[in-house]
Amino acid sequence: MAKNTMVAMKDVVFNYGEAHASCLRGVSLHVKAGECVLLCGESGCGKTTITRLVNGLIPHFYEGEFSGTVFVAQRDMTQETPDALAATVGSVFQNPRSQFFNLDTTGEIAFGCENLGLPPAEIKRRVCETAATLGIEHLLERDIFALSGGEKQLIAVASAHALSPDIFVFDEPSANLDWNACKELAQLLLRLKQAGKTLLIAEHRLYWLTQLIDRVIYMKAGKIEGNWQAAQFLALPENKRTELGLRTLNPDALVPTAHVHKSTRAEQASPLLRVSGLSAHYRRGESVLQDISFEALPGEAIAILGSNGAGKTTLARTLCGLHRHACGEVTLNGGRLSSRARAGPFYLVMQESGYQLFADSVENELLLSKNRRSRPSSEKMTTILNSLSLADFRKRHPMSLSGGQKQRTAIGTAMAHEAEVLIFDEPTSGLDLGNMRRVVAVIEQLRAEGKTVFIITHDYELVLAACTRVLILRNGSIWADFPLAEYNTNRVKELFL
Amino acid sequence: MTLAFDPRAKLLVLVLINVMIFVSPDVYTELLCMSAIALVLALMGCWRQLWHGLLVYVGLIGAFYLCTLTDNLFTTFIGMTIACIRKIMPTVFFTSGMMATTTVGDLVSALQKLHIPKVVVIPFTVMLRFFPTAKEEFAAIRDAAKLRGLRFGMERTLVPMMLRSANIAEELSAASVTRGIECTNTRTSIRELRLGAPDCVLVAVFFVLNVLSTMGGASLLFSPNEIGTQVLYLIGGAQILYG
Repeated sequence: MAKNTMVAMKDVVFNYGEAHASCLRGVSLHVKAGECVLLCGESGCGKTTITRLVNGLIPHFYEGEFSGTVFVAQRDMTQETPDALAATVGSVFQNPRSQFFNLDTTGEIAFGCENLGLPPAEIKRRVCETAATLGIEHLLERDIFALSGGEKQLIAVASAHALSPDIFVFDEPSANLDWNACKELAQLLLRLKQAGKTLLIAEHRLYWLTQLIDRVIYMKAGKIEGNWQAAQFLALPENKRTELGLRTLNPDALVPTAHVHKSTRAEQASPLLRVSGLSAHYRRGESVLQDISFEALPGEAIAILGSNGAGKTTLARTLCGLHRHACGEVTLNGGRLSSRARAGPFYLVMQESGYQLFADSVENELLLSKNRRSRPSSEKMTTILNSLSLADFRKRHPMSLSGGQKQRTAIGTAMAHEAEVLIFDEPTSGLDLGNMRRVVAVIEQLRAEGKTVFIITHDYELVLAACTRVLILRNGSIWADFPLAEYNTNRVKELFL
Repeated sequence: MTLAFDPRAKLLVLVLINVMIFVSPDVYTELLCMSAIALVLALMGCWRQLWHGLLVYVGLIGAFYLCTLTDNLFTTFIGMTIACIRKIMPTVFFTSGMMATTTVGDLVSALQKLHIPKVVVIPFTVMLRFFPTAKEEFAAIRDAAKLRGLRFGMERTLVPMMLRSANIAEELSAASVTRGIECTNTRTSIRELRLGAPDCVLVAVFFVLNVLSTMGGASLLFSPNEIGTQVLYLIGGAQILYG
């Protein structure tokens, strides 16, 4: 095998067993040392499985039927001991929350070295060196739970780097990051690349990697279906990209596509929702929201934008009556609603919809409610399930569904109990183009039914595809509030880019 | 200026405190113990834990006193419950300070230096790591139930919580495998642990308190004769034991 080959996979076939559909069906892949390779494709195409083969989690952690050969840095991954694996490949995962072991950042970066039994002096040297190379000295000796999602991801990269592996694999590293954090992560990856490391990145969001990648592998249903040099890939026509189900490469070219319904304009005189003087604070007294006032019409889709800590989530929670320390007035259809009465007419679709499902089947989930009278009729339920393409799953346990299906079930419960205002918290984090479009279609449908939709998101593509209005929060106050149209797209872009 | 004690010393003190409470014969010994812990917390700079702990303790003593004012079954029952809670306060008090000043890494290294096997240490670490996450998960599920007007029942909370936890545990384990947790080498630590003079003093103080408590409590301090008798008993006991 050539000395400069970092990853060599030959005829790999892998099955997780009966429970999982996703598998690899004869994959061969070569990655040169120092190369930065992007793995892309729709959800369930097998890109995560490839990253697991490279970092040795398959077959050491995830078991299944396996055949073929995997060599990483001239080592046979199937035969290696866990020590060798950890020192050869650095791994960074999707969810910052579930990849940390320590509660402090320095301890976290040192963790791998400690496991390998390096002498304390050497560990200290490596932690300092890692922090200097990656430019994250300011993050040392901090409480991990107090860091932002982006900062957590930087620490994850640093803790892999401290073991000085030759290759890094990333499994959707940007899924939980905002636009700014993506930029920071991209800079960090660039530093790794300049240091001669090999990078293998499985991702849905692509635009932030365009400056970084050398080669792109496209996967579909467990096979490699495309292999381009970066320049070729970036030159693919738009229709080819959407045909492949890939997210945008060039956010600059996007234009708003959600249209204001005619009925919305006609009813201008009677807003569905009127919020005035809404303020909220934390238990210790720090103020989060100050004097928020706005009106919203039926059929509007309003993007709530702003940086971390601007108060977006608190605004959503306050509107739904979940945030206890709040004051101000919320009027729905002319009637004033106390914070206790708001849960119900207001509904929050959480980022992890898995939290919101309590029943033992999709059908029962829709029926479940505290008072029996508000249960939907069976016709209504069928309509809802059909409109969300959940009809085939009505008997399935909600927890056995995919992420997108869980999300739609959660939306279904809101529709079944006639919520008037739906608030989505990061509905498209980690979704491919097909699933993002599904979310857009559902939002479109809710608007057509005269619901008011709010969307908290870091996803610029989603804002342009689904929203008719933009509300920007800054330091807990409304900084800007304008209808989204082609002429003012720049105002939104500024915020993201 | 704060003192940093070795986690091993803190663990030992925690054990000593538990024994002391178990055998403690009177409330004065307990008060002595609480004062000693308060002093240690102050030395370690855990002011918040110190005030919270003392406030709760004083509250419990006050509530207990109120319960003794009237004499019926109900107040006796409440009083007993309060007394039980008060009994475990020294442990809770010290643990709050200990957790605030000990990183998980330090604790793991300490356990390893004490030659506790990895099969015990790793699950223990994961458990400690899981507390803050469990708190977040719990809050999210409570919100979700509230949104739908559902009562926050056992089944409706525990089932989603367990399913989610299983997921997180799997991801966490996978991440830890890629970072060499299964490595067979002896684990090291970025912070070198060294038992120093302050640690010895700390352990000695609590050891003396323990002996005092075993011998009959703080009230002995006010009757020197009894101490003499107890010491004689001890010597006698030792003579019988060692023939």
